[in-house]
Amino acid sequence: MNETSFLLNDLNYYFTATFFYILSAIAYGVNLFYRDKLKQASRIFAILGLVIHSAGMTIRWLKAGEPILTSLFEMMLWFAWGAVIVMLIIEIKFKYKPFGFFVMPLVIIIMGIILLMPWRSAGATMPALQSVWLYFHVAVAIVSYAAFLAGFSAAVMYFIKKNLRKDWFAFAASFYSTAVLLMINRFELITKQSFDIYVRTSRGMQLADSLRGVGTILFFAFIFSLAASVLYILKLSSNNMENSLVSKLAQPVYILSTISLLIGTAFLIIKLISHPHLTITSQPAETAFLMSCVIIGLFCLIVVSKYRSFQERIPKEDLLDSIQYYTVTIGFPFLTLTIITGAIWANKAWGSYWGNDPKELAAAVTWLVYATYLHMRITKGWRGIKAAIILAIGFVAVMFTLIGVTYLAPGGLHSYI
Amino acid sequence: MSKIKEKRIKTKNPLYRFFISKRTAIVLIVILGVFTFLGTVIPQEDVFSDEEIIAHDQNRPISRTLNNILSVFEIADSAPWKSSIYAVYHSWWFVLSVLLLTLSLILCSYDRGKALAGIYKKSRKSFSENELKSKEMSAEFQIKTDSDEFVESFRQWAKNKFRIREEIHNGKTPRFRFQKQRFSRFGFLLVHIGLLFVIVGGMISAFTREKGFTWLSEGEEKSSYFSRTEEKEVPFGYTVRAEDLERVMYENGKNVKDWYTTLILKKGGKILAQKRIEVNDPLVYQGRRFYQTSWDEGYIITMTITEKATGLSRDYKIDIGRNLENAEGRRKTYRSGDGKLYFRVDKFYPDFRIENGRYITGSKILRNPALSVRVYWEELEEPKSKILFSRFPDLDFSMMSGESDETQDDPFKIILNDNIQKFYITGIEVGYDAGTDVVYMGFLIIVMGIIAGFYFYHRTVWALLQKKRTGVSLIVAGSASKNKYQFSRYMEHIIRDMRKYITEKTDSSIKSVILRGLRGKENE
Repeated sequence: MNETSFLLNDLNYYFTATFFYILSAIAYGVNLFYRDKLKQASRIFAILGLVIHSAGMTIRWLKAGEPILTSLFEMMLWFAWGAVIVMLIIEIKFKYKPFGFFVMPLVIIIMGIILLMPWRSAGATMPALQSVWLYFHVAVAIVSYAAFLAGFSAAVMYFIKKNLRKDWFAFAASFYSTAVLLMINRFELITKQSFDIYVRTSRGMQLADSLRGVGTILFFAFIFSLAASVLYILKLSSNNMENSLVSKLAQPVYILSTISLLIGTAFLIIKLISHPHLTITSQPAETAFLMSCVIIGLFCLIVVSKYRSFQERIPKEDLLDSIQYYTVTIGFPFLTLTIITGAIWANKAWGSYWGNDPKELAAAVTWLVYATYLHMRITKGWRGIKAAIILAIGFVAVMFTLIGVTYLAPGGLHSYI
Repeated sequence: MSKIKEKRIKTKNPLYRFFISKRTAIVLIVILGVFTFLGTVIPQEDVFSDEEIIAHDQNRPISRTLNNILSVFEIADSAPWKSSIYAVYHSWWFVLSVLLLTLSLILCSYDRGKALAGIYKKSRKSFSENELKSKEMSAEFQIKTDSDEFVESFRQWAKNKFRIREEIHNGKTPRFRFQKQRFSRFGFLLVHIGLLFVIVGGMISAFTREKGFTWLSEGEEKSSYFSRTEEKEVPFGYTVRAEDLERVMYENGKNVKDWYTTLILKKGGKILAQKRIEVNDPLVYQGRRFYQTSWDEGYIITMTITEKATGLSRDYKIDIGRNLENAEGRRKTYRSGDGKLYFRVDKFYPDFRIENGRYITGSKILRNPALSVRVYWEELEEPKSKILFSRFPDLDFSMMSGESDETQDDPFKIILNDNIQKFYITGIEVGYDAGTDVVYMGFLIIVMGIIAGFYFYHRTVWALLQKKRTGVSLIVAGSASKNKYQFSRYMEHIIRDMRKYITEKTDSSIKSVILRGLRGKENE
């Protein structure tokens, strides 16, 4: 990062944009619970964030001198950008103002991932990536993913409106945290109670530092999350537990787990910034996952504690269904185009339109999930909540395609993105 | 919509009904999705080599976790499903579910096609007041007017305005019907037909696909390539010559921007095809495609071998690069000294270094060229590994001990000469795939179908004019195949137009309006 001018470094713009997105999310929350007290503020913050975000990307594009569509970093930038635009379109089209409250947390998670990713300057694209088909491929992918993100938010709203037991939200959040904390350092965070930071050197991955304090806090977070998951699943498995100890303990334990996660993650970030040899981007995957745990945990905590007012402020089921279907009518065609343009490009670059590459397959899985949604929506008895569940699974598949494959499945043609 | 459903339920035997049911389709799609997901997270044999999988595991901690979980499966080594987990797409259960889905696709397309066949037929079927009132959206106007004249003028106006083709004039009560974007009903049928094309194309590809590779240097001509599909050299049937090899770098001088090669296909002195190819822009000749995919540097080295007893020496000119590292691992054994000495070239290091006890090349620049060879002669029990340095011809370096050893007794003296030449070689991927065009055809049909199916919708609007004692009653009703929300806006728009026409262009006035499923003013 040898940028001399603050204004010329596009990373600063993304920081500022994230700050506005957070303000916007808070304003959306206030509007949702206090009857539009802040009026247009939520939307204005979102638009301001979007403008700054766009300015950063414009600078990046101008500096690179070629379309900035060739790395995961840039892909994520576009993804967050598209999600905010789709959110605004839906808010205006369906005349439902608080929609942003359900989209902004996801946008903030994506922005967080962007800021944690190892920073890479734009330009100097490898030869195979210089194709009009690639630009087309990535552009349609962004539209499709952004639409699916909004569809996921609408599905979550549908669950709340349909009076899905609120414990499911708390369970989902604590289960997610448990899984993430288990995965960190391949179970070693839990067994050693220390957060080990590895850095890549020419000799492979090397242990740079062991953070004992952070490890201990996160270990407690794990214990609480696990306990909350178990308590909630016990509570959910039977209907007459309302007054039992299990039912009374579940929520406090869940709150504890969220708080300890928040503290642990904050300490980790502070440690990373203040460490002499490390930077905020030293441990991108783990930090990003922890951050997503915190945001999902806090969001679900708000949902659980304000369930009634949520239900009041969420529009009717058929409007939610319209929003969901609307996002799929954008997302599905564009996902189809993504796969088709990708196939054509692969055929031009490597001589094969399909190579069973993990990313291709993950996109195919995503396509199948949304195809299932479309079939379910027109099948009697399977529409409604079941279709909404499929829509939620679809977004998990999207995130897996976009990020998960890069970290979980072995490399392949998309190893650069 | 209802008409189509009726036809379906009546049809035929239970097996047919099973395959055209949407539930079956959903279950099959879900099964296929699960298999594809497995194939995504579990490294597949046909996509990755073992080395790639291991290399990947070392770089990605999360992947290591996953592999630890997966290694549980290894315990059940004899389990019949074990081999199929690493080759999901070749397993019988995957192939079976694809075939079942294909069957379902064919039958559904046939069924739907049959049901939609009559959609463009002109219908003379009349409709009644009550039928219209029971539609999802309708508007009922009571108009105070001089009836005959109004009915006629409204009829003419509506005919022009909505381009009405289906008009039923039954005595004194005219009825109209018009439909828009009927083709959109065929959208999803097209998507399914397109998918069939893709599946069939994929099958054709699976049987005809050929993939291979060849390396060419400047001016080199080749008549065969190494086929990965058949794992042997396959003749082109003509010769391929590479000319004007060019590499373009970015301004930073580190990253490659593009590679170019002019390929000339010749047979018997006649040029069949010629093109300057680059990455993403292949040469196509009779379905065979030549892709520029990689680039390497090769070296021409000369070794001099002298037999100490006789003083006889001989030079060996060897291409490094194409013959060793790049040509699918084939190695050549050279003979010298009347057949007494054999040697094989192991590896060439343009910039020899030792790091952590391992021999590596620091760069591709000829800073300290070294060659590792394995030599063998009659008195020797096992081959000797040596490293030769062109800059230090007297240094005799043994691979085993890493230091000079008692090679004074060797009957041969081997020298790597300093006249090493560097040259470029271009990597050309050769491919043939007869299924591609069919798959592309499928893509086109899918895109057309998706545009028709998602972005257009079939709507029908009915209108019925009846003379009453006090004037005329006009009933307008509409229904759409989907997109109810937008359609209601469309209907409201039509009703506004009619309201405007009636009040402004005729001498009549509207007494009352009853709206069903629509928004708007009910009274004037």
